[in-house]
Amino acid sequence: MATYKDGDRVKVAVTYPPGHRRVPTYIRGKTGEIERYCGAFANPEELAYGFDGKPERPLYRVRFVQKDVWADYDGPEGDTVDLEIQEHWLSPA
Amino acid sequence: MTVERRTHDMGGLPAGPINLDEHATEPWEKLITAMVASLRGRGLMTIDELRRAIEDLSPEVYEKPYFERWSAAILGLWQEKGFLTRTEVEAKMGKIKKRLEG
Repeated sequence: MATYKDGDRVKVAVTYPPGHRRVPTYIRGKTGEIERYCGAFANPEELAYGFDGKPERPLYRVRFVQKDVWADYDGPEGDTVDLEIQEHWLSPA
Repeated sequence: MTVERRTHDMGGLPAGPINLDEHATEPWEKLITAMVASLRGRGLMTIDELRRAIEDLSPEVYEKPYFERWSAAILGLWQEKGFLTRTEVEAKMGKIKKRLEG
C-alpha cells in the first residue's frame, strides 16, 4: 500500500547506515515531490546480502528541483532531477 | 556528523569530461557478462549482491575498468558463498596461462 500520492511533498532521510544503500548521499535531506508510484518491490538493501527483501516496499519516482539540490546550480530555473526511492527513506514534508 | 561518502557514491563530485569513444569488447568481457547471467539465472547470485560486492571493493580496485570490477566482485562473492576460493581460481588461471603459452 502506497502511503504517498502524486504531488505529495516528501523529505529524504538524513542517515548514513553502513551497507548497500540505494539513495545517493547528495539527495539525503532534500525535499521533492512524488511524481508517481512505481509499485512495490523487494528491498534491494536486503537482497544485496542474500535475504529475500520481503515484505515488498512501495517505490516512488520523486522529482527534485535542481536548484534545491545543488547550491551553485546555474542551469535553467525549471530543471529537475528524478530519483526512484523506496518509502522507508521518505517522510512527509 | 562526519559523513563518509563511499567511493561509488560520486553524484555531484567534480569529474571532468566523459569519454564517449566506443571501444571493442574483449572476449573475456563477454565471458564475464555470460557468467553473471548464468549465476543470476541459476539463483546463485542476485544483481543486488553483485552491486554490493562492487561497492565494497577498495577504492584502488574500484578505479579499475568496469569488467575488472565485475570480476573482482564476483570472486569476492564466490569466496563468501563458499563456491570457490581465490587460491583455486588463481591455480586454474595459472594452468590456463601455461597451456596458452606452451
